[in-house]
Amino acid sequence: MTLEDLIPDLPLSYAQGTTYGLVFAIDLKMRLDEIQQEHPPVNYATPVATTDGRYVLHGDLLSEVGPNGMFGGTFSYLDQSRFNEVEVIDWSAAQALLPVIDPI
Amino acid sequence: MFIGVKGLSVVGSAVGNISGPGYDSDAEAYIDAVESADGEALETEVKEAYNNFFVGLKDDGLLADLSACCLLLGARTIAGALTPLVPSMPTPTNNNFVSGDYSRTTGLKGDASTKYLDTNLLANADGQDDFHLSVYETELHNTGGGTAGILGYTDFPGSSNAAQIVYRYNSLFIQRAKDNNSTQLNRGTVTGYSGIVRSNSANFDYRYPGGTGTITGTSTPAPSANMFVFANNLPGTGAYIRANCRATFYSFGAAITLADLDSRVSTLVTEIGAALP
Repeated sequence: MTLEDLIPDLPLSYAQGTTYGLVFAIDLKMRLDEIQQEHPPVNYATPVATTDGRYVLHGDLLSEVGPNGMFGGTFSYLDQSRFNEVEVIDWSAAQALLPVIDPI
Repeated sequence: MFIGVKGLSVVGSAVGNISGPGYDSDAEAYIDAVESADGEALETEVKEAYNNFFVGLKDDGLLADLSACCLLLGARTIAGALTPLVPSMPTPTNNNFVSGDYSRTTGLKGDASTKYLDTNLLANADGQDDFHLSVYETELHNTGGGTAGILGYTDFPGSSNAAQIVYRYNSLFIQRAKDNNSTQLNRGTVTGYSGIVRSNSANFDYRYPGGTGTITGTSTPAPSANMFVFANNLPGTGAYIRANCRATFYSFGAAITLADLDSRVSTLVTEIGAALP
């Protein structure tokens, strides 16, 4: 499933959003960074690098993409034609893509 | 336009709140700021709890020693909860928290993966040998492997200079205070207030529910990098070792008596819980 498939259901409920992870390539991450530099938000969507070179956001952000949502402003600047490049996976699978860090 | 009555004066208010008579002036300013961020007035009981907290901080001489602090409870929204305790403190930057992560009584919850607050307070803003950091947790970090930073900075895997409260494999509680000491303590499972404070170059004190003590560790200069909450800031990398604890309070500032702040924050948590059953 991709983010494009979820468009009719947006914004998601918090409970539903927490079950998803949003995974995408570095070029979309860089585009998100550009948007937030051009239109500085109060609340930042900050992707995290995965072990396979992609980036992930928690799907619960999709509970805040409506007009009055915390991430509604940033979401409105995104190019919906590229939503099919955002893979939607189970949150547990997304967490498995993150490095386990134990530096001590 | 609504008219509110504050003390003996009559003033206008953007959200139409009526603050209680005789509130501490800093408490009143904070309440106004929270209500403005929330877009709605707070309940009288919540305002009274906030006022009691400010009065207590001043009675203990603590308020002036806080450099960055947020009450992550009581407010109606995350925006309200991220209101600095006093206007001169930096406003934290929210990274990835959403409304569903916030409870008015139990605070803000991390996810150990993506969410953190950038306090916008530099780690070297307070003195190398005159600082504290503290947090009040209502749920402890509880995911499996690795290390989880509750708050602070770290330069791991660099020279091991850090000021942090972290968990390692859930049960260990490791604290550093601008040094490379790697003391590990058994944190246990009791929620509540935890902090570290350094007032000299040779050692620092720690406090957590059920435990206090002193750890030897020579201080070193902190980097010019911001302190984070629900993660540690690794300069050059950013948020690192995130945690999924839930917290109602954080503070950074000069050296203080942790027991005093613990008492004031614990009372605040109890009073807000009673105000919002």
